[in-house]
Amino acid sequence: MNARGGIAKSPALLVLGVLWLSGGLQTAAAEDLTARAEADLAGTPREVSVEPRSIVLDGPRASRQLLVTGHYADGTLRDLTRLAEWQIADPAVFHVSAGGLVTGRGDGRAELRIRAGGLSSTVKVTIRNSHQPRPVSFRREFMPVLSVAGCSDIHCHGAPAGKDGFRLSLWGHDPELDLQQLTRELSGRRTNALEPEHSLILRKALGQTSHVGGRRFAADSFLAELFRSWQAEGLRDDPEPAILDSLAVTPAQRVLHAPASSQQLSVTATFEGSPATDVTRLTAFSSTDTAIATVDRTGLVEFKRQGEVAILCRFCGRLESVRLMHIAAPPADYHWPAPPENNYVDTHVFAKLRMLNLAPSELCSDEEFVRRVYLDLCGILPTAAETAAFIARTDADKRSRLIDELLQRPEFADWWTRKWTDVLRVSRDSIQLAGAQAFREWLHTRIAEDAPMDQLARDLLTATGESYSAPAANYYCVPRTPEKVTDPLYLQKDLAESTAQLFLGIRLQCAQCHNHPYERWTQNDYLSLAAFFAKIDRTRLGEAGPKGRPDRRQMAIAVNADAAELKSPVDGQPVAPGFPGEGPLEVDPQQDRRTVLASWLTREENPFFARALVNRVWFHLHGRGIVEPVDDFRDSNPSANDPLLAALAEDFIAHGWRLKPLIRGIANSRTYQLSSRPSPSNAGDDRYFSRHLPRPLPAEVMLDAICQVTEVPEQFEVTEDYIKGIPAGTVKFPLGTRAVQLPVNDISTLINTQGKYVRYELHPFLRVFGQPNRTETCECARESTFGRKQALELFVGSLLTRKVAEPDNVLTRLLASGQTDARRLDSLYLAALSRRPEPEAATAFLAHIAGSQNRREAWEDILWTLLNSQEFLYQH
Amino acid sequence: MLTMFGSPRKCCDRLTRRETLQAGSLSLLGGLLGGGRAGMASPVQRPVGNGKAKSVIVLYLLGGAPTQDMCDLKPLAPDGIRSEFDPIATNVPGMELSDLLPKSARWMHKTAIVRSVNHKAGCHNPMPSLTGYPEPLPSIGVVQDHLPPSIGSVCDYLSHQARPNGGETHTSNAGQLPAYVHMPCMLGWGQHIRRAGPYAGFLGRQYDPLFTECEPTSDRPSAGVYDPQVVKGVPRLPTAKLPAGISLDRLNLRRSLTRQFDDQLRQTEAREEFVRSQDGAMTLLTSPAIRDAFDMEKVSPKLQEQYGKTLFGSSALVARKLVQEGVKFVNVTWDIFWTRPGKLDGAGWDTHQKNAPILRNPLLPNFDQTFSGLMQDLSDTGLLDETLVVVMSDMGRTPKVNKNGGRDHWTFCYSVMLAGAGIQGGTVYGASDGQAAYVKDNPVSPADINATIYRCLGIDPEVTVPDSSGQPVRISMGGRSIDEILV
Repeated sequence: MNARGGIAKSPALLVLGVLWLSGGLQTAAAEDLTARAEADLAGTPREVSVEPRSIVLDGPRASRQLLVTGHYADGTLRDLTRLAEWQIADPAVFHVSAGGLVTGRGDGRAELRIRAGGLSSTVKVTIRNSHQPRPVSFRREFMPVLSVAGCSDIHCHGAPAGKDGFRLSLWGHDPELDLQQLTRELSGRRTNALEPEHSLILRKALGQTSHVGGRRFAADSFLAELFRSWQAEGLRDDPEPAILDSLAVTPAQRVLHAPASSQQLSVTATFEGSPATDVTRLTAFSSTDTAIATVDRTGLVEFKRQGEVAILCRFCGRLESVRLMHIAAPPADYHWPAPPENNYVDTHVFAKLRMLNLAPSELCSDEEFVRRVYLDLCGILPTAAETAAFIARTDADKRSRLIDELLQRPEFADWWTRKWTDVLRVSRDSIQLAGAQAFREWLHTRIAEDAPMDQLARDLLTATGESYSAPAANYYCVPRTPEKVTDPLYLQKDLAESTAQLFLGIRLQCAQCHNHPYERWTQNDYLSLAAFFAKIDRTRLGEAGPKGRPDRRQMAIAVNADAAELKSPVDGQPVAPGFPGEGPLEVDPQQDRRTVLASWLTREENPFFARALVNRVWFHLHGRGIVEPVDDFRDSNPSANDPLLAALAEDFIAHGWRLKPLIRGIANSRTYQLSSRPSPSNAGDDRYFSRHLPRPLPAEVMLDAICQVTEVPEQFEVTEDYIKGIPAGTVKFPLGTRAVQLPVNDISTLINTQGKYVRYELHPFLRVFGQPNRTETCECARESTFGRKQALELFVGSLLTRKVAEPDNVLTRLLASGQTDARRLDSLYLAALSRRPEPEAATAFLAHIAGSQNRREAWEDILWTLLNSQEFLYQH
Repeated sequence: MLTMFGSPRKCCDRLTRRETLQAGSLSLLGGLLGGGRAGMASPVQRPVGNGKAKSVIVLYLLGGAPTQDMCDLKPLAPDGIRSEFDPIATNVPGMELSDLLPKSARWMHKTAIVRSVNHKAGCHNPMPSLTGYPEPLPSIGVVQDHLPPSIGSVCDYLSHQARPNGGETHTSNAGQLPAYVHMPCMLGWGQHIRRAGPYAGFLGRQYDPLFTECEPTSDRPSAGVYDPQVVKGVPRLPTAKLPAGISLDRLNLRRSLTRQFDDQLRQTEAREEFVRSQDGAMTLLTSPAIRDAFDMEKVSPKLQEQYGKTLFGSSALVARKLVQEGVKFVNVTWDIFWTRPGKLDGAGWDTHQKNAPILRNPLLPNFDQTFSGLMQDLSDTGLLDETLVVVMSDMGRTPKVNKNGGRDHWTFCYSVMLAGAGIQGGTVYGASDGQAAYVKDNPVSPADINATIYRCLGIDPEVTVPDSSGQPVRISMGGRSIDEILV
């Protein structure tokens, strides 16, 4: 018996498939073409391997997914499962589907001969107990069907409120609830042990009864058979639920080079005390990016274009993911330019780019570099003199030396402190100006002296004391008290979420109410992390504030060993502290359990902390994380470069968890110093760092840059702290204070006429350019887009207008100097753009000056034009 | 401080489930590279649409308008389901409306009612209606750049693509009106939520609508969510005043200098969005037409009365003036104002309590006034033949009236009205069951409605646009136009 595999869909074959369908072309010629295309796809492998080498199927419903893999001379692998020819010695013993799934037909032994890519192989197949009755396991067989068919998906009955009155646990994590729902709810009409064919679940799933979700599987499918049998056998739970030890997906990782573009997966599960069994057809597969690759129910992954995806494989509440990549054939004129590598960063980035056939852009010019590195490391523009001096330097390692110089500047600490004050939610609304100043000062000192970040995290997590005098305690003061406290656990929950997002790079918010829909995190993980914060007392000091503003006072944080344990909202039981994914811990009741958390977090083996931090630093320097969003690590959000992330983390730890060596390493890489101008092959890449990605300057940096170029500093003034009524006065920061240095983000205060309502406002310019409210732990709270609103602000907004027209500004000094207009233009260009004008633009601008009656106004126009250019407004 | 616009993406924002629908490569080329009118250049030999409409005005009733009490009354339904209102005859025999919509009833000869709209994308999700995207969102306050674009953004994008030298042009775009305006405020502004829906999503923010601003008022503050007041006010342009000392001439001069500037980012892909943003800003500063459209001083009191002196009414009036100036797509939303600027109307059309009393006043009479006023004005100005008016909602409401006399969320069956250019007036498409609970005949998805709108505009719904990964996505989002209601 011969069963030829289905047609794998390489792009060439897709065209054929279309022709085929479009009518009557199923001629000998077309078949020849298909055969030839298949032969091309199979190519001439050096070797063909088949996994597994032998198969033993025990029981009536056992199956095994075969994987046939071609090994080629260039070291690449191709999945040939769909192309293989199966020759079954005895069809009475077993059957093989076109996709390579072996199922038993009768007890016995027989050989399976496999032919692919011109080579042959054999597999011994043994079938046992194929006709012995064995009841369908509710947990191991029936429940997985609900996932495979999509019933327990978050969009269907797995939604927290269910769908159309029928609720299942998400991805079947709660079989007891589901059994209840299936057999008791709706007077037990959903299931029918006597006539399974008439059960609501089967009729709905088959589309025989009106079902919003449509038909989920065919009446003669394996899934339908399980639906019927389990019901007919009496709707029973398993007498002894088996414990799933492990779930293994093959291959765990693979790169598919064109022409290969598809891959069959196979999944085995090992239950405690039993041998591994194949569960491929009971596994729910999903692709993290269906625009790149799709996966069907049989576990066949098909790529649509070049790219990388994770395929999530769910079985019995367990999630495993595999990473697959497809690389298309490069254009004929493409070649790898073999750029020099400055350090390990380039080794990993270029290895990935080379694999993806993306030629990196050229090295950026000195002018681009000096501007870029000043902005990224210190949040300031280089002055005209600094730029000119750097360009004039001839030492070969001048870029590297400049990086070292910048790392020592006070502006470095200002700028990197600002990044932390955003996500640490340093705002007046939660900790007052006094708390914010103390907290910022504390962070600033640590960043300036390059304190180890593990120590910083530990200090924050284990802090106690009063918030104005013990600054680290503000970590526990920034969570806002809700206007009405409806959830007594609001503080613990906030701290669990913010700690996870800040230091673990994971977003646990979803797991508060239910298991995370796309991830491995469970509600237990969430609660047991929150339980680390159960023994904290947070009290407010001094006089009470007005209603709705309970936090406008100093707070004190203390450990209280007698505080109640956190109770689970599900069953009311106390929750023991535990690390995400690791289960409950025993903690000495007298010990401050937060130290246990801090120790675990900052262990070298901790898989999260170092990676979360290096990714954050990378994000600040490149405008995009290796994992993006920067604080959203999860299986379903694969990183752009795993080895790079691992190497950065290793380097970070090796250098004592310090930021400066890490930043030095990244900034010295050629990758960081690539131009933003695309190469012919990398224009479409915004993910793998093959070029610099231009992005608007952050709000504060933009404001400071405008002040610097116009030489008109901004006077910042904020209201004094107060608790009741209206603030007595304002605090003026010294003239020359930069926006980056501000301890709080509120600047002016709005007071309505009745005096009943006081609200802090952001600086209007900073708000337009996306300064966050600092109420969220998320980097995403900062908006960084340039749109009509931002363009309007710069065209006619008061801030820029004022500074350009200010009687005593850069133009006043330029015009008073005895230079030529051409030299004046040069200095404006150098100050704003860190370069000199191109001759054509210089000619046009000088003509504008020469032709104007009011020279001052003409120069204002030029200054305005430079400040309204994308080159000025963007980091590039 | 509440998080306002740009509210941080909460979790659950899984990676994009991009709707990568396969579309013919021919229509891709036709839509994106063809000259002339967007979507018209497709070489595929099939009707692209009647193209009668040059512009669209959407009247959007946020919160979920009850089909059972408006245009699909079921007088024979049992107590607890049946509307308190009676059906009345309209000027089209057999086409009935609620007795609280007597003025609208006179425009049914120009109107088609689709009574079988439904979706499964969750409650209060404006994405299906405004973009055709059929999936639930992780949270209603989530606006993400990879989501599909709204119809208005697509119209803007396609007309931009159809222009020669679609990218950076060195001819002035100033003076050209925005193609897409959303009134009276950013969707959700009155609740401090930035609701998804009216945005450009993966097309890029340069195709987001121009959001107007407003300072709504009411005669008295509301006592509670279900004590809605008549919301008054007028939409206005975002602040765009020339600073003292800067004349229009000087601004134009400066703008011309920016074109001579040797920008080093010319060759990067970030360029187009930047230039378009600046062009958009220039338009607002320099176009007298758009400023006039917002000037209520220039509108007779009689006409203001005709639309109703409400925020919704005045927005519809401005919409008509914008359409007259050539704006392609205008969304007029009946928004909710609760946390901002104060408690005026906390429910909008989300009548979980006191459904019938609230419909009786203020919802239906004010809607009736504005819809009929707009139809009359479009007719009087000759614009009805080239303007499509669509009345839609994010969803419908439960057939069953709850114990508080309200109707709850319901996405399984509701109605959309389409009137004016391109529409076969006096038609009803699709049918609900005896309680207007589920679809009986001809189910219609929000994407089908959008495809129908595209056809009226002469845009091929099968045209594809590139998503953020460059994959072609059909603008129909899989919807098929309802040809039975097209002329």
